[in-house]
Amino acid sequence: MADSKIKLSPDAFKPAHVSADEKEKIATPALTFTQDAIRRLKQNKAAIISFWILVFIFAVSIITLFVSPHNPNTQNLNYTYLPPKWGNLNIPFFNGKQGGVDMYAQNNVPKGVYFLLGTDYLGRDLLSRIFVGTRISLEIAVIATFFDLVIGVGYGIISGWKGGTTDTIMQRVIEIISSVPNLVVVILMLLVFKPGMTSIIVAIAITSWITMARLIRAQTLQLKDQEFILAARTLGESSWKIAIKHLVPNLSSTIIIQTMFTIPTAIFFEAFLSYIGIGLPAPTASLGTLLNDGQKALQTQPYLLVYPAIVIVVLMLAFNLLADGLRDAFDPKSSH
Amino acid sequence: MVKYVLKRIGFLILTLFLVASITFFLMKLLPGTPFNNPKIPADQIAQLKAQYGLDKPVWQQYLVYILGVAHGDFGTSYQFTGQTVSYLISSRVGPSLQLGAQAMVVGTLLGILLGAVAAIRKNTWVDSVATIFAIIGRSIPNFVFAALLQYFVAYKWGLAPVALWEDGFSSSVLPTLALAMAPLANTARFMRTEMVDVLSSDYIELARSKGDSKWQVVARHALRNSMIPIVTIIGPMAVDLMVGSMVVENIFAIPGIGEQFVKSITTNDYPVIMGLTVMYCFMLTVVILIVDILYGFIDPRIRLSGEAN
Amino acid sequence: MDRILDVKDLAIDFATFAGPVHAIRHVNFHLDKGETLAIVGESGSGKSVTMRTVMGLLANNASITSGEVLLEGDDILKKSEKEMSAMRGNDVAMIFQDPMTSLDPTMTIGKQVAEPLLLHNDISKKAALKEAVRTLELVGINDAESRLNDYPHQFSGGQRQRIVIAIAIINHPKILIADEPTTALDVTIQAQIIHLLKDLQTKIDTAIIFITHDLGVVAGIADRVEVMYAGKIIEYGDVDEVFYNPQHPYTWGLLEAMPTLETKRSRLFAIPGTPPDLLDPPKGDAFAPRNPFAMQIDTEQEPPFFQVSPTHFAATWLLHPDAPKVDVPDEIKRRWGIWAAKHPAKEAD
Repeated sequence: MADSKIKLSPDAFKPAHVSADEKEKIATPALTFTQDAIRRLKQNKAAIISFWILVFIFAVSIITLFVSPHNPNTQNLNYTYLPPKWGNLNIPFFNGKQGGVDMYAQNNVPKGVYFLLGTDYLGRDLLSRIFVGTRISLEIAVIATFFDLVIGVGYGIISGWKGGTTDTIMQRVIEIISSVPNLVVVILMLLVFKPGMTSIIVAIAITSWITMARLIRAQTLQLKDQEFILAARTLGESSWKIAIKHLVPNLSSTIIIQTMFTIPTAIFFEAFLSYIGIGLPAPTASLGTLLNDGQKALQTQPYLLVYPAIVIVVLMLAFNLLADGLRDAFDPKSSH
Repeated sequence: MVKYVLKRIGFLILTLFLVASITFFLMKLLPGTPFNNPKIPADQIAQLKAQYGLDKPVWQQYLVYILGVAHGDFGTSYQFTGQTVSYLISSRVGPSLQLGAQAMVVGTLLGILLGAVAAIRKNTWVDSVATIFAIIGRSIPNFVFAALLQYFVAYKWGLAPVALWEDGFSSSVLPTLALAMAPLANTARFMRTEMVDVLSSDYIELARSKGDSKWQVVARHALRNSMIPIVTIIGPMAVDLMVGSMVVENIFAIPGIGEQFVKSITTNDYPVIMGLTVMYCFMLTVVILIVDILYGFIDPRIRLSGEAN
Repeated sequence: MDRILDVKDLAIDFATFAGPVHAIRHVNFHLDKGETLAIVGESGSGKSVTMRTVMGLLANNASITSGEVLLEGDDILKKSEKEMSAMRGNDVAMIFQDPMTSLDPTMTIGKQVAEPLLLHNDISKKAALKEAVRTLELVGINDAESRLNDYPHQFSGGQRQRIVIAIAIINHPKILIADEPTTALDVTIQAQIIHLLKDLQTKIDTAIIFITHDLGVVAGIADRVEVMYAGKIIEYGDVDEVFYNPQHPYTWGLLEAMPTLETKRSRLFAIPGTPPDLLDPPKGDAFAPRNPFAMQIDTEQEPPFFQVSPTHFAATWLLHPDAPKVDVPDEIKRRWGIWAAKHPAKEAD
């Protein structure tokens, strides 16, 4: 193995000058935490596809504010329960036929009038109602989530940062609230307030901040003892300044991830409430009211349930997948 | 241990008391009673109010109510004249408990299986299929799933009764499946993460280095260690089941407390709503208490440190 | 001497997002019956990966690109998973670094210690538990019989490491791999564990491969030492040769960094810089960027092994006959002095 017979030029034994900087240089470029997380997120195909699906759904619900195939609230009793029809294309389920009978011809619907996803019991266009319904559901979910976030983050930070008796009392309150199934609380709230968008938003926001508050408190407790916070304290910065300047940025990934999980829950709550009949009053469309209408006519007009169901499932799926992706990207260690 | 349990029971009673009180005053804030119907003559309303004790001052009503609750008496239903709320609940709790228990068992067992398989075959197509299945399960609202099951399995294909609680076990199959979806999806997800964690732990590597085959490692070490923490999600699962039962029972027309709750909401039957709220709260806190005690028994680390104290 | 393990030209890549990491770059070493070999290096130098290869416990993203691992002449890299399971815990056993996490927290230690016996032998449960008691007593667990039904958390760190050792030796393996078995322990307990391993080696007649980043631990236990850096072995020899006549500048660095009672330096020495990125190993000597004695040739061509003695080799261009004499660090001068005093004949060469 040994080989001292290799002939080398004397130059080979000149000292190689390696600067101190060179020694400390790390070969691959360093990534910041966020860059690294985004890189991981981009590798998650399901999350990226979900993201674009959500962008698409949001775009469509904004665009349809201005353009819509039909007026979502116009009733026309001549057009009730028309099955989906795509122009003159003869595709099964989309040819306006039901049980072999052309319902459009039977109801004397003029040529050129057709409903891509059919009509409901009042002759309203389902597609237009789905557009409105999706927009309303998203509005409710996003606004409720925003309040949920403000309450949850505020509560969590105060509880964790203050500690001591304040923390104990605040935690007891959370324990009591969470000992009642959250939807029962939402329902009680809705009984007290008049049904409507505002009360649904308030009811959802009031009950769903608990998880956020718990997560934020736990993390605040952890961060509180970390050196950069201690350093800021020693330097005499005021407690609240520290909380805002140092704490919030460090909590941001938790907040983003949890928010992404809260939105689908809020969509579900709204749909649930409208579904059991204490949500939005008629004629407002939301995914929940559409599903409720669809359920009533399920045995004869299954499409009235199936299409809104597809929208809500796709929406929840996309939010959940994106949230999962974000969590894996930002918080690769913990997954609960 | 005994001291701990007593303390917990004390807190449980306090919680129930607070929930009952808050519910009571919320109901007092409500805009109307079922007797606000203009068709009922005024003297009859007065008589009804007297009958239900609604003519007394609020604090007296409250005392009567709370004392009643302490004895398990939640008053009389507005909707079903003469029926006590306690009777209404107790006659309907059976089907709900049966469905809930069945859904819990089916959901947890299948969830554990699915999660374990996904973890063992991590990053393969098996894992992807299991994960997608779990996420879809989490994303389909249970009432949509229930309605679809009812339409396709019962109505179209005739494989199960469409609704009602008359054919014994076969009546419970579809509602159980509809209810089990959420616990199944959650358990599978939880199990997968736990098991991935456990499988990458040092003691699994040590077990492998002893000569355990891949499957022996799973059977002897990984399964038990990853199943223990599942006990902790039984609480949230119970919430899912309670909430789910409201719509699922409604869709399948099952005479349970969930269906009753929804019915009482639409008919403003406040005594029943209050009674059921306290009931839900009671069931949930008891489940959580049992889970916490159970956890101490299953996990040797907690069990023995508990004994030492 | 009977050669029990022979690793030849072993190379292992790890698949990562950024590309293959060349974790092990053509490693050769061997182990004789009953001897103790220490493999020394920083974390990431590839010592644990090499040992996991011997155990057949490589991570899924690892691929062996060349080489063979001969266990008594049989190449274990060609064995089936079933044959590997039969070998693990029977012919080759392993002790892990962190005793706090390497025992199953929900299984009684009696069952855990008896498990390898039950796996590899046709033996009754009762007999296996009896043997477990014997082995636990052998490793110094007092009152083993009454503690069989205890769980790991009821034992201290040192006791747990003794239990881990009991698990490893219960089948009297031919090779015992100890992967930093003392790193996670208190210094006083470290000495006890080392002492126990030495003691056991004579009792059950096994060869030990001792992996560590701490040369200080090695002196007391090893017969031979191999120093690894960046996925390669860079110097190997008998323990005295490596300790008192080190030739590779990296070995010098390790020895300088080791606090001894004799060292009078007020500050602990540390090798500057970080190990190279094995995604793209540097041309030439991988240690060159951190080597204060680096020469032009080090950055261009990888040094071959130069023989120092029939048992002692080092891969550094400094041993080339044409290489200039360098001014070695004081600590190394001191060690060379001790070596010269012991081996006056060799100094005369």
